[in-house]
Amino acid sequence: MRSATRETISDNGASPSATTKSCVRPVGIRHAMPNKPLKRRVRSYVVLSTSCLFTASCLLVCVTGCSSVLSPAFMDYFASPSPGQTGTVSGYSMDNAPGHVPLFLINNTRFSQSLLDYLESTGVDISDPSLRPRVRVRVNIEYTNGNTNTVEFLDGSDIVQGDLDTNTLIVPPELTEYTLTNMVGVCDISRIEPEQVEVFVPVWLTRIEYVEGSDNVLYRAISGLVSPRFVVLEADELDDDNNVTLLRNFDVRSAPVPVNDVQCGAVVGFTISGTLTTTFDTINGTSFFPGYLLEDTVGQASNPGRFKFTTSIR
Amino acid sequence: MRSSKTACICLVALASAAISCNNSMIFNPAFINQQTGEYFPLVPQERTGFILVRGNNATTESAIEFLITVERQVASETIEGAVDIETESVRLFAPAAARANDVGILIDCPAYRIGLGENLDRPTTEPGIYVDAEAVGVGGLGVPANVNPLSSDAGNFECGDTIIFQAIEAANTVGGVKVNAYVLKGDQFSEDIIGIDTFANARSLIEEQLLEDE
Repeated sequence: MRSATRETISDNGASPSATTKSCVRPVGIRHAMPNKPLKRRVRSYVVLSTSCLFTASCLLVCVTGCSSVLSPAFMDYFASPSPGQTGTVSGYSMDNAPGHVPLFLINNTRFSQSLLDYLESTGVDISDPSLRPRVRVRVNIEYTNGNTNTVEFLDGSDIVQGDLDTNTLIVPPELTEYTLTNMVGVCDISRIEPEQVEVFVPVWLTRIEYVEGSDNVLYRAISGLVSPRFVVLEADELDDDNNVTLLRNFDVRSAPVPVNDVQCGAVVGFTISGTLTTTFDTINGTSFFPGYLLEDTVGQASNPGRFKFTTSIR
Repeated sequence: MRSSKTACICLVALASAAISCNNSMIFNPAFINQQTGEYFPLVPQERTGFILVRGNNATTESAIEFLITVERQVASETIEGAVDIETESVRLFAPAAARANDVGILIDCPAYRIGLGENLDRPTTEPGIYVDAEAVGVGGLGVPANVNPLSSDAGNFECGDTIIFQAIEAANTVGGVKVNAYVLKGDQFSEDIIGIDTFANARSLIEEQLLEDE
């Protein structure tokens, strides 16, 4: 440990004691200077200016970071650890994680038998006994410090009906590219909110409308096609007295709800169960296919089936 | 008089700190865990059958998407006695914001190799991270992670370990970010958990749901 060697100089310029040493800044140095020889004065100025420069550099480095003074490449060479033979970095430590909060998506949904039969009739391989509808759940995680992150869970099979006639099918990458059924965040999490729950409808839906023929009779005709896509699941509609006015995909009691003040170390599980199905309709009264009448708002609202979203914390 | 009062206050504060240093009644357990690492498990440990893989974004500005790939050895369906490699990739989005910058996934054991990028044989050419990503699978400059995949055969990791891929700012690299890999060995941590046994609870939650499903 290096001790301070500067002598304390009193206001009158005399040294109070040769043995008194301190790191106190010289006081009344202007009065002391005339008593010193020129060489010593110059040396004092050089030492003082060098100290000031050094202090200023240190302050600059502290405030703006080393890379403002030194070359980033130079810093990188010395400051960054490099991996060893095992592929990992040794001799370098990170802060411990404050604790973890794992989140799971458990996909317990099923295909309806009518939908499976229709898919099979179009040539889709449904032999896998563990077939599950593809589910996408977007979850917003809010931390206690106010920062947020959004996670997109994806799980289920990637089966899809091929092109219907000449219509081109654009398969979304979320169907085939990757699956994410769990995520581990670090503490402290203040709120976890499932923002959007979607399910992939793997068949083309035919929209049917009534058209008046030349004989003034209404006939069923194809209005358009809806390609296979992710559909947002919605809660039932209620009136002012909380009576259900339109059945959609979730009962209000089993719709997604946010979780607040998640304890550090807890495990949060989102379970979605239910049956993916679509309404079937016909034009000529003989062949039925997935679709709905444009006027049939109840039928449209019921697509793509009834589900239940459960949140469990352990 | 004043100095003795200050000394008394300091003494009381020191005594309180000493007594309650491990006391979650006073300190946030998450804070204690950061100091001691003994309150909540940092590694899943072998008994849970998980490997925890974390992506840690230590940059100050860039949101990073980690493309984590796991390879598993499965018995070949075509050649008897041979093994095939089954690959699974996940994308983890980590914004450059405290706490939110650390995301992970739990992987079921056993795993053969774990690394960044869809093709683990090409860590220097295939994108392993996406710098300045906007969301999962949206935007970002795909850059190679330049990190060799970790192999269980080579003893880089075992079931129950935690693997951390940390993205840090680095000059003279594509995207201005480089990645380092770290391993926390499961067997180097005590199995006595003071707080909640997070990963064991996670395993039992999944098992219960599977039973319910059946």
